[in-house]
Amino acid sequence: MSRDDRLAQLLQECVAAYETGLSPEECLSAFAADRTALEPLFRQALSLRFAFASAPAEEFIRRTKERLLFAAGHEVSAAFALEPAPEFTARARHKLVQTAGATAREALRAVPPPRLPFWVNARRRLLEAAALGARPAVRPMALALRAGFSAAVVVLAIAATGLAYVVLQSGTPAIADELDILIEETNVVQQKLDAGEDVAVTVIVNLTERTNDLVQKLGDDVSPPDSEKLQDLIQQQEEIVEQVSGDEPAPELAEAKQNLDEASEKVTALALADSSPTATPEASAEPSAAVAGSPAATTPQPAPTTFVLLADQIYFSAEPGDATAGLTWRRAKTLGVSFVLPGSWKASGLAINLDGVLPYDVDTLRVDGPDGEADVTLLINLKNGAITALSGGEQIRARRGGVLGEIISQAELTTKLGSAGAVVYHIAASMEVALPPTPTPEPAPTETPATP
Amino acid sequence: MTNSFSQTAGGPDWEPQRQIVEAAQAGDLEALGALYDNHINQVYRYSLARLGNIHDAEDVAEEIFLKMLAGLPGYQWRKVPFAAWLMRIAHNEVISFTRRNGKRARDTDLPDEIVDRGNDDPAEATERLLAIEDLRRAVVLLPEAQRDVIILRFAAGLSVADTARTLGKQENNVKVLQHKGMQRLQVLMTPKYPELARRQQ
Repeated sequence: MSRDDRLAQLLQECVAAYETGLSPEECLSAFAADRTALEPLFRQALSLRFAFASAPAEEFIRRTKERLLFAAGHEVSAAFALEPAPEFTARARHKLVQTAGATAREALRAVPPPRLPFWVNARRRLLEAAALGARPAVRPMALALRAGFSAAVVVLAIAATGLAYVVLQSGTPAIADELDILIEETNVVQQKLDAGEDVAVTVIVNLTERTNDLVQKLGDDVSPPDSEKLQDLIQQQEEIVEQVSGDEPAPELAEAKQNLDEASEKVTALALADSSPTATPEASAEPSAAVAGSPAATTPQPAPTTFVLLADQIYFSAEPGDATAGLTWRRAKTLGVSFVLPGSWKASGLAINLDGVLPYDVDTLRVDGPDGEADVTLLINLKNGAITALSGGEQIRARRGGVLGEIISQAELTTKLGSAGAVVYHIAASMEVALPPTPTPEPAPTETPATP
Repeated sequence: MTNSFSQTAGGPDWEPQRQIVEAAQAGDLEALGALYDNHINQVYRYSLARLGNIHDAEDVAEEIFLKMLAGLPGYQWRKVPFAAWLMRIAHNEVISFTRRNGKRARDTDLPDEIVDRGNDDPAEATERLLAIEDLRRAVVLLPEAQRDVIILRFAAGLSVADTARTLGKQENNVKVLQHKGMQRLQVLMTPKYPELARRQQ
């Protein structure tokens, strides 16, 4: 060991002894043989120790230790893993209940479990169904209950619709509504038969009877409904009758077949009439003659199943789908123009709220608003569709003549006519003017309506 | 606080320290806290001596212990004593901090605990305090290798062996560097404090 090595070793031991509490003199005395060489090194070492003997602040030591332990994660996990003592939980709950009162007591009494989202159950059921692979086994009791409920539903549906039918019969039910009821009832019966359930014959007979009654009413005082619906309904009922007839059909089914035959015949006739509104001139001889001699008649003649609208004739019909301004509207049609009018308005003394054909002998039809409701008079040109409104001494051109006649704005009409402006605007907007007539064969002299 | 001056791996005095380290490695919080308590002064003094700034020393010391925590699972007692391993982290962290932040202003005031240490003679105490402050400045003027050894030996309190392990040097090399460093400090301090130098001689 060299001298420097030995001095370094002695220095380390001397400093260690000093750290244990010995004074510098005591430390040096322990190494008396090497004191001369050791003392300057030892004193300088002590000076260096003093020079760097600064201790960190207590606050720094504490903070750094906290961060170190926090980084270690054990305190965090330990903190979150702690659970309150049961006594504390019970005491806190009791205190909360006492503080919050009855409301909190009620709320804490029974907390329902959280409701699962619907798709969780749906997903579970879907997966269960997929796992099963096949349809669930048939359970006799469930099947019986299901059949019972189905029959009950059918009976209730028929009863409800029947009740609705009776109620509607007492008033003036719309043909379309009655038709819809019959279609719905027929569908219920069809579904029941498809499911293998029995349907009483009387129910089927009742359906066919009511269907026939509905069809027979058409053409009397109501406008024909959609003929296609009627034809489909009759055909469906015929299939039902065939389905329940079997080898030995019940006697009541003969009545059902007869009802359907009558209804089918009537619907076919109506369809033919509807598909040929401009029939040959020969076909209109009788109705034309009926009105030819009564130009001033105020009662419209019933519209025949087939007729030809001649010049100087005006045809009024219902416009059931129109409820503009809360009014009931009628459509007036001539060979040249077609437009709607409120049923409550008066057209030159004609009763426009009844269906039928009326003769007219003027080019301009005067229509007056109801007294006290609309102080408006309309002059409607039945040739070119021009409409002029007279109100308070003022003359307003609501629509110019022609196929594409200009219509005044509704706002301007409302400004000038008040609430009647919307009605006049609707009349003007509904105006349809026929294209310039193409050469038509001259009707026979006997078929030309006489003019007064 | 544990005396760090005679740390040598494998000695019988180090069995408690070894148990603490192994317990800390197993996740024992108290053991980790004990490790911190045993080495915070050592780390802090080393950082302060190297950086000369209390705030920087605190920041670096904190970072050193976090690095210690991260490296603790991989530490093996047989290869290097814990103090040497920890001071190697400190040494690297100080170098990294200096590289990132450059050389910053050093505190001129001595810590209170140093000021309070003195004898009853105010004049002599003042002279000694000034001498200590100049000694700190003189250490900074040492060559880097000598400075590292001096600081590790007398600020951190490591033994020659642990200083050698910390710096990756031979023990003899550390002894030579220490001896040269102390001689140079005497040279630096003698013109200013001849009386002090005379007493030391």
